Amino acid sequence: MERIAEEEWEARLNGVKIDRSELNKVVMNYLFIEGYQEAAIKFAEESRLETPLDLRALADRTECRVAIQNGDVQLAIEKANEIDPLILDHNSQLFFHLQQQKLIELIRQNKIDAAIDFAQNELAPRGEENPQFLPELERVMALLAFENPRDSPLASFLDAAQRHQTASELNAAILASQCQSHAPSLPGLLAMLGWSQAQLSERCSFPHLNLSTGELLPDSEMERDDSQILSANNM
Amino acid sequence: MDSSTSEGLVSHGVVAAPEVRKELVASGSLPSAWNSKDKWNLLSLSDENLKVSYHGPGKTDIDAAAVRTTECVPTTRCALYYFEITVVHAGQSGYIGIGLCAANVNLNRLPGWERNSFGYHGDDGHAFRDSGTGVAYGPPYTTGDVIGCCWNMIDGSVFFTKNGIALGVAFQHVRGTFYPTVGLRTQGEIVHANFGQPGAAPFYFDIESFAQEVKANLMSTILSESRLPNYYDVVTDLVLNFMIHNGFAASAEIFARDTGRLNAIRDDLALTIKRQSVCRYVLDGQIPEAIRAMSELEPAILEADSRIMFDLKCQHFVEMVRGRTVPTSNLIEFGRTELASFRDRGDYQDERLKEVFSLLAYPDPTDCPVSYLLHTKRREPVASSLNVALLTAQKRARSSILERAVSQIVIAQSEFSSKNTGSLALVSMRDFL
Repeated sequence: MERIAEEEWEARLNGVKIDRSELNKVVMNYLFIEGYQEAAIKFAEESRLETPLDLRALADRTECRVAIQNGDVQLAIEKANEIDPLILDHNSQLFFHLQQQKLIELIRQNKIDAAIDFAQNELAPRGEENPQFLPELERVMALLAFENPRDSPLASFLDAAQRHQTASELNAAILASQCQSHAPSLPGLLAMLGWSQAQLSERCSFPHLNLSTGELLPDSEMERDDSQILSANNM
Repeated sequence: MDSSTSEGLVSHGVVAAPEVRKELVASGSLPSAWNSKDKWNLLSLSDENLKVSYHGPGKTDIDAAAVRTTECVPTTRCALYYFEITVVHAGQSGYIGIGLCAANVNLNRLPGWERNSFGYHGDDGHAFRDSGTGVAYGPPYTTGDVIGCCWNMIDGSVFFTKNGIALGVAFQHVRGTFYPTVGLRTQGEIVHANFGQPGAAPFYFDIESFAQEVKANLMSTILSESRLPNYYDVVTDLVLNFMIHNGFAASAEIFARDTGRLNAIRDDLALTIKRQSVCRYVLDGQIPEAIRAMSELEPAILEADSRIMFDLKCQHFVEMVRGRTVPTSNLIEFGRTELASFRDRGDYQDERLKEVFSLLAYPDPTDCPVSYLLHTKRREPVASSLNVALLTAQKRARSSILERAVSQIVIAQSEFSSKNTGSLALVSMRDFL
């Protein structure tokens, strides 16, 4: 199989002309859709973007996101119900994830009794109705088995990324209820990157891009890297 | 249906990226007619070599006769290929076959009977591949029917259509170089081809909608299969990196705060604010202020990199022309003292000098051939090269990761399409923007 060396690839990469204002739009679209109101307003200003987007419509979604990211899940639920009670009624998986996030927050605050109480009274009955939710709930509950959950193999539930994910799920549901597109273009772009690299890998060996560092990785190292990410995710 | 519109995916029977289709149509390398030199002699061609008539004895299989097109189906950077025939007359028994075959396949046979040939036959509706024995596939067809053949080069499948209706996949793993072909076997048989060439009637089958459907499926596959496992962190870091890289300090700070990353970027933020303070002057057209701030912050850059100083001074000249407060004599003076010293440093400098000086040749610079120089958007590349120089001085990467990611897609795709395959002909980065 043909092999393209890193130096050559890097030179080609640097030769690509990218319109920065196009990238500004991609980032703006992400901030808007994901509900980062304040950042979106500032970004429009700093990047000198003419912004046709109605940033006021973002306020509700931003409140929900901020509430979840601050650990106040109940506030986010109330806010979402104010926007449209059907959002949570129609979306049992989302509601379950919100409740589960509440449980995580209780565990974070080391309120063990309240956590067990909440799990038994609120989560378990829902889990029985929807058995597909149970395995995840069980993993969250296993956090209680560790004296210091932050040092446990399940510590990722306590990461900011977990809040982020729950907040994004709620945000997408609100957008969908308002019949707005809820898919920002940035993830599509990253999917396109992953797909293009995978397709080309079948035909030649070339350096892949590490999205965390921006550095190039030889094809073989990238595979190892992928498997690490996957196994970390399957824990 | 007008298949030549820019939004459409099909031209001349080919589904490919617009620029590829344009190239193919312009080069004349698409199948447009049957080849009078590549047919069995029991056939005759008419109507600009689109109509095929059978003139043989038509008794047994050795009386079969086929014809190929002048050009083969383009495969590089193409996703789908489609053509149709109308059965003008089914003749005595309607032993008609339509399909694809390689260049060296014996034309004394119907499509599908020989190795490297594929066909759908009218008398029994069977599909034939590399063999005299077919398999049940679709309905038979006869006089007045319009039969189409579609080769999907993304997945290597071939299907046929009858009177505009798709009949389902007939063959899989079809890869190689093939020509559209048609074969006749009994007396009186006549068919007429439509290759979607300019002036041809629209196809019966809605190939445009089919192509759109294939494209939508492909895009959802890309989105679902290529999602990163640690997506949230990656995307958040990418956005933050973009803001920091481009000197959007306040946005970066708010976004970092909202995503719990403030501590991680504190050092970077301080550097970003410094860069931003310089670049902002350029974006506001205050070039002397930018030069002053730059010489306070990183004096070495302006000394070492004369290109940046040159760009700044050219921009300053443009800003003075725009402002119209500086008398022309002073502009000329500035040009002679500050800019002229860059003459003969290289083609870039000479071209730029000519360009900016020509602003003086017109009474109204906003309405002249080089008025584009006055567009405020032109400040951006200057600010951007300052930013890059500062980033380098601060020992930071020259490009944001997002920019590298997009470049990586561009390079991977161009490398990929030169390697002869279908799917990228249909989906490009644009579709995700």
